[in-house]
Amino acid sequence: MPALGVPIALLAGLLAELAAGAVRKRPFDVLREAWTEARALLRGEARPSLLEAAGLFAALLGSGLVATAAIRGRPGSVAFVYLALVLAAVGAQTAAADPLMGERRAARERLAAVAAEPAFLVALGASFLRWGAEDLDAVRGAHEVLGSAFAVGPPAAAAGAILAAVVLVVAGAIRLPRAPDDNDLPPRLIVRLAGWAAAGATALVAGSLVAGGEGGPELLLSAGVAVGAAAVLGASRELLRGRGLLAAPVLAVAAAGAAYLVTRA
Amino acid sequence: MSGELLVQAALIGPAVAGLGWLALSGLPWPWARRVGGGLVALAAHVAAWWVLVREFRGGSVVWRTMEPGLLGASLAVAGTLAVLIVGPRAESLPRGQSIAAVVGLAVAATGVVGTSYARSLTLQAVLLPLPTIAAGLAALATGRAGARGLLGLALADGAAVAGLCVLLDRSGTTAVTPAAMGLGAGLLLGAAAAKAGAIPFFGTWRLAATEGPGALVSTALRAQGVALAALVAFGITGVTESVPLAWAAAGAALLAGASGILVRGEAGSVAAVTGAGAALPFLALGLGGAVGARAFLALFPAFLLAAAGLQALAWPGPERWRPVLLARWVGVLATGVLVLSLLGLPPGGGFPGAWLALSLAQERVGSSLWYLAIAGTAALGLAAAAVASVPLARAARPRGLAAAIAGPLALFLVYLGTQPVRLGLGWLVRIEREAGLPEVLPASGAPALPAISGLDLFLAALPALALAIAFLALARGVREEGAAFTPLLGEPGAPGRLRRAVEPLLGRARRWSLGIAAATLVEATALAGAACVVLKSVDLGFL
Repeated sequence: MPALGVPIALLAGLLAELAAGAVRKRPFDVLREAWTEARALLRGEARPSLLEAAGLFAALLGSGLVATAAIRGRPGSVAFVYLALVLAAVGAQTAAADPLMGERRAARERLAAVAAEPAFLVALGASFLRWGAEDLDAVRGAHEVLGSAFAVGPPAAAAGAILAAVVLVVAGAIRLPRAPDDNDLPPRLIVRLAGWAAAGATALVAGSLVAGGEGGPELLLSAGVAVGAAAVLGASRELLRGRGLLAAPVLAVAAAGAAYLVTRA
Repeated sequence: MSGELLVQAALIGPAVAGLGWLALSGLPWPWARRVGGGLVALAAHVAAWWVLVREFRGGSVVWRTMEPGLLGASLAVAGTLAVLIVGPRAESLPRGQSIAAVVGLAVAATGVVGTSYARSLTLQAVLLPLPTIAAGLAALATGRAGARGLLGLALADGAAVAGLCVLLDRSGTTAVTPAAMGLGAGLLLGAAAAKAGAIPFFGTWRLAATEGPGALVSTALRAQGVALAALVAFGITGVTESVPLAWAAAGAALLAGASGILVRGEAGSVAAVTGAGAALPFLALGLGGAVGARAFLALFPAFLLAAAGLQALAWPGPERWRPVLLARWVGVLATGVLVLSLLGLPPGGGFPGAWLALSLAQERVGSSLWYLAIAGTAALGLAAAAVASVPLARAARPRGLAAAIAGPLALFLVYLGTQPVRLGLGWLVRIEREAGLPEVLPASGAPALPAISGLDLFLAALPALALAIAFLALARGVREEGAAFTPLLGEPGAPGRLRRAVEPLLGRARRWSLGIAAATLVEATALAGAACVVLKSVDLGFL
C-alpha cells in the first residue's frame, strides 16, 4: 500500500491541474504541454539540475506518505500528516527554485507559501478537532459511525468543518509553486510533477477529513470529495495566481473562523 | 584503562589537541599540525566513546565530581563529534582565522565535555564561561565585524552563574540535586537556550550568522547549551512539564522561521535553520514527562550533528573557491538532508523526535486547547524555516573533505530518521531509568517511536526515488547550475527613516567597540560570580 501513495497523489494532482486548465478555458492544454516537455526531456534539451531532482524526490516522498495515510495505508496522526505535507511543499518549492526558471519569481512564490502557512495549519488542526481525533484512522472511524462532515451537526460545526476543508485546499494551492509560463524558460516537467504530487496529497487529505469510511458508498463519497477538493485546489491555484500574498490574510481569518465554529460546538 | 584516566583524556584531550595544533602551526609543513592535532583530537574523542561504552555496559566511570552517567557520556560524544565535523572547515580558513577557529573549537570542546560530565555546581560554574571565552577570542580574530553575539553569550554566562548561585544557596550542597523548577533552573535553561542558538538574534545565533571564524565555534556553544539543558532537565527538575518553557520554545521556533524569511545571506540562513532546530529539544523538555524526555533524547544527537554538518557545508566563510563537481553534488544533497534533520521533517534525523514532541502536545489537547496552539506555533516555525531554507542547498560549495564527511553524516541522519533496523532503544530506556522517569507503557496510548516503520518509509520512497532517477536517466545527464543564494525578500532597499536616524549612533558605538566592551564587562562579572560560587563551595566543604 505505501508504494501506491505516489501514483495516487500524482493522479489527484493531475485532476487539479485539469481543473486549473478548465478555469483558463483550455482544460487539456496541460496534457499537451506536459507531452512537449517530456519530449524535450527525452531529447536531452531539458536536463534537470540535481537540486530539481532532489526537490522532486522530496515532494514525491512527502506526498506519497500523506496519500498513503489518506487512503488507509499507514498511520496518519496530525503531526505526521503536517510534517509530510511540509516536506511535499518544500520539495516542490525546491524543484522550482532553479535560477534558470526565474529565481526571483520562485522566491516570491515561497514568500506567498509562508504567508499561507498559518491558514493551512489552522485549517488542518480545525478539521481534526471537528472529529476530536488525532489521526486520519480515527477520523475515518468517526465518519463510519456518525457520517460525513456534511451530515453531522450541529450546523455551525458542520459549516466550520467544511469551511476548514475549503481553506485547507485553497491555502494548499498557494503553498505550491507554479511552472513558469514564460516560453523563454526551459521546459519544466519536473516542477509540474512535484507540484502535482503535493497538490494531490493536499486534496486527498482534505477529502479524507470531510468524508470516508469502510463501506462502498462511503468510499465513493470519499473519492468524490477528494476529486472535488482537487478541482477546488486547481481552480483556486489559477484564480489566485500572483495574488497569494493578498489572499493569505483572508484565508487566515477564514481558518480562524472555522476553528472557532468547530471548537464552539 | 581506568575510568579516571578515560574521563581525564576525554576532558582535557580536546584542549591539548588545540594547543598542540597551535604549537605545530609555526612549522612550515601544514600536515604536521593536521596530523598531530588531529590524532590527539581523535584520541580524546575515542576516550569519550570509551566512557560511553562503559556506561552503556553498566560500569561506573567517575573522576572526583565528574560522573558522566549514560546521558552525560552521550552528550560529550555528540558534542565532540560535532566539533570534529566542523574542524576541517575551520582548518581550511585563511591562516590567522584558521588558528583562531581551531584553537577556539578545541578549547570550547573541553568546556562541552566538562559541562556534560560534571555533577557539581561548582565545576559547572568554572567550566561554563570557557566556550564563550574561546568563541569570543576566535571571533575577535577578524576584528569587530565577526564579533557579534558576544554580549548575549556573556549575559548567558552571567545568567547561568546566577542560576548556579541560587541552586547552591537553596540546596546547601555543591552536588547537582533535584529541585523544583524555579529561579535557578529557569536562569540555567535561559542560558542554555542562548548558548544552543535557540533565541533568535541573540548569543550563539548572532555569532553563527557572521562570516568570521567565531561562527564555527558556535558548534561547540550549541553542544554546551544542549548539555546544560540536559543537566537542568534530567539532573535537577526531573523533566517536569513546564508550559512557559514549551511556549517559549514554540515562540523561538516561530521567530526562527520568520528570521529565515528576513535573512539575506547564507550565514544568516544557517543560523535561522539551526535556531529553529535548536528550539525543538527545548519544546520537548517543556512538554516534559517520559515522552517529552524521550523526544529530547531522540532530538539532541540529530540536532548537534546536523547543525555541525550544516555549519561545515553551507556556511559561506570569508574565502571563495570553485568546488569540484562531485563535492558540490554531495554538498547539495547532504545540505538538504541536514536541513530536513534540523527541522524534523521526514526522513531526516530529527523527524522521530519532532514527531514525538508534536504528538505529545497533540495528546495533551484533551486537558487544554493551548497545547494545540503550542504545537501549531512550533510547527509553523519549522515550516517557515523549511521554505525559507530552500536556497541554502543550492548555495552549498563544500571542499572535498567537507563533502566526504557530510555524505556519510547525511546517510547516518537518514538512518536515524528512518531506523530500518531499530537500535538504541536500550539506550533510551536506560537513560530514562537513570533519570528516574516513569516507564511508558504501550497500553497507556502515549505516542511511541517509530512514527512510521522503516519498511513503510522505504516502500513510500521507492517510487519517488525511481521517478527522480528516471528523470536524470531519461535526460541523459544533470544540468549544472549557479550556486547563488537568493533571499526571499530580495536585495535590501534603501534604509528607512528610523534606520537612517539610528545609524550614526550605531556607527559610533561600533567605532568605540561598545558592544565588545560591554561583553567583556559582563563576562568578567560572570567570572567573578563563578569565583564567588567556588568560595561559597569551599565553605560547604567542596575542597
